Amino acid sequence: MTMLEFKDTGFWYEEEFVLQSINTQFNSGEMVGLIGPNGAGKSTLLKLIMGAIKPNEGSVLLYNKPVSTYKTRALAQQVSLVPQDTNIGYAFTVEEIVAMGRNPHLGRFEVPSDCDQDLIAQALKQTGLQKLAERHVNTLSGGERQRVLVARAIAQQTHIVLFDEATANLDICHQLDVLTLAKTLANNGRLVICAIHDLNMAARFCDRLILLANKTIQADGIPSHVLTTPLLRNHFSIDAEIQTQKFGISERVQITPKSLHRTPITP
Amino acid sequence: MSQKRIHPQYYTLFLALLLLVSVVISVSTGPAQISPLAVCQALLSSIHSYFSDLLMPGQVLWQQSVVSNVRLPRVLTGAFVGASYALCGVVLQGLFRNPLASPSVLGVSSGASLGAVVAIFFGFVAISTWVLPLFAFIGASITMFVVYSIATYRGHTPIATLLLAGVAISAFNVAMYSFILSLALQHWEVGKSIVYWSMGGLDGRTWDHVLLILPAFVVCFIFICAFQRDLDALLMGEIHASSVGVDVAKIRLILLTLTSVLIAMAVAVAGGITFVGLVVPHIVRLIIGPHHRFVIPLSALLGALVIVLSDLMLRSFFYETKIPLGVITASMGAPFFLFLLLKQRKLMQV
Repeated sequence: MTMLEFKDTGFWYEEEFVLQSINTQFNSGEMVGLIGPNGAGKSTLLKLIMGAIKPNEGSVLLYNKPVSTYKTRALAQQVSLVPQDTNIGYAFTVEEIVAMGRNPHLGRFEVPSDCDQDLIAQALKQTGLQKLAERHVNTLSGGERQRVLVARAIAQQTHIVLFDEATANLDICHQLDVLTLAKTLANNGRLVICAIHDLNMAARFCDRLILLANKTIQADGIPSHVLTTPLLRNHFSIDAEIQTQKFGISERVQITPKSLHRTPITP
Repeated sequence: MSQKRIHPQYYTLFLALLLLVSVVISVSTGPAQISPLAVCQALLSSIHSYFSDLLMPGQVLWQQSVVSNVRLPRVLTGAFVGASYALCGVVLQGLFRNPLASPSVLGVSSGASLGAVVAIFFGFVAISTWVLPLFAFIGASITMFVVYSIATYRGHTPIATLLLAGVAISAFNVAMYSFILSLALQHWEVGKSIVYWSMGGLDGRTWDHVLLILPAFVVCFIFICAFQRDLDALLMGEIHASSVGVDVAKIRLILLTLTSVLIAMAVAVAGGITFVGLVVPHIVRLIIGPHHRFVIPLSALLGALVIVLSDLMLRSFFYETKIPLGVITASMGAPFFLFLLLKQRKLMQV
């Protein structure tokens, strides 16, 4: 059964389409990268999956049932999010934040059970945060904070994990950290969808890329089919050298931008 | 570097004991001094006739009467008012993720006051004891939902807009309040009632006042405790909250309604008291962290304690002078709050 499906989905904002005629399907175990220029609608597509906004046209189906019919708590048992914003502000400890991942599974006055505590401990272990469990989250680096949010998503035990430009503000080491964790989740049978700007990272980690531009899907497939010279020129306005290397049954795509395919903005 | 923290349950226990002791001392203090032991004996004997044997021979019944009919309702009213204001501060600061959100800053207290003054001016208060709190609730609710609706656009509530809307609506409420007061002053009796009520405080508070605020406080406290995990998540932001299953719009509506009830009752029985709702939750968060499981009960206890102690100071040192309760609460709490703020500002990145 298809886990997640967009059927002729459209969403407009102030009478202007942000997304139009989106048709695609997602299955468990996939790591899908959403790429596209700024304002292409990547975050909007994730918000539609989260039920934060409702489609104006068509539908988004989770296990063949429209996302809009799920209650917020029921949806949070299926879908978790690792957002870009890691600025928590208040002095929660790492463990307290990871424990919030169990909230959708607990009743109003229910205390986390031993099983919940085990899942929290496992999430901390999986993300290498055990030693930081008692630390206040606002004393951590951006990369560590992002790992805390990944740990929260792991503790949430959802079938779908969304990464909304979660690596955008991280150095290369922490980008690798977070994306490796995301890949592990996909390898464990979850559906991972990442909105991502770094095309090389997207090509390296994702099994499948969806290029969003001009309000709709322009390309959908394995990285070497999506990251092509004409598509990059048309939608990212760059001329780039693309190298594809075969590694057994998989291939690695490397993009080296050469020049802008439009007049540069000058002050 | 991990920080060793005292478990919040110990703070809860300590504050509960401190509140109990403060209540006994406060009840024993007054023009006629009654020893704390006699207060305990009088309280026990009021609870059950079995304990009336505890009254020492010669211990006059007036002590029991003063304790249970005059001083205890006043002190309990103060405790529940303080707890209610502190609880409102916890909820509003959590809901709007803003340290400045409080009943007075968002204009809700002034809305409740305006509602109460309308009830007094038009003579509705003669109908029933419940009319004043009802009108205060209507005033608080209208203000709360006008401020929230103005600040909310497409499901998002920018904090700056919210605070500015609160300031504007609060100014309007105060203007209307002054307008009604100036009209009322032409009729001496009505004017006197409004001025007397607007001075707030706990003078002459009876069991009727306790019975007005107690059920509202208990119900709201239980409901707010039920939403403690949602409030934790909301402190991290709307997107974080909805990703862990919080229906932000629904939770806000429920909690704003509960807050309006609490503020209305507190304003109806003791007038507007600033500072408690703003600062008590901060003091608690600075000591035990932002976890609402502990912040909610501890803030309620500390809010109650602040008002009980302020009222005690007022009656001990300024009995002859009519100083508003809020002056004492602010001058006692502000230096302590600033001390904590300076000590822990590294962790306060809000």
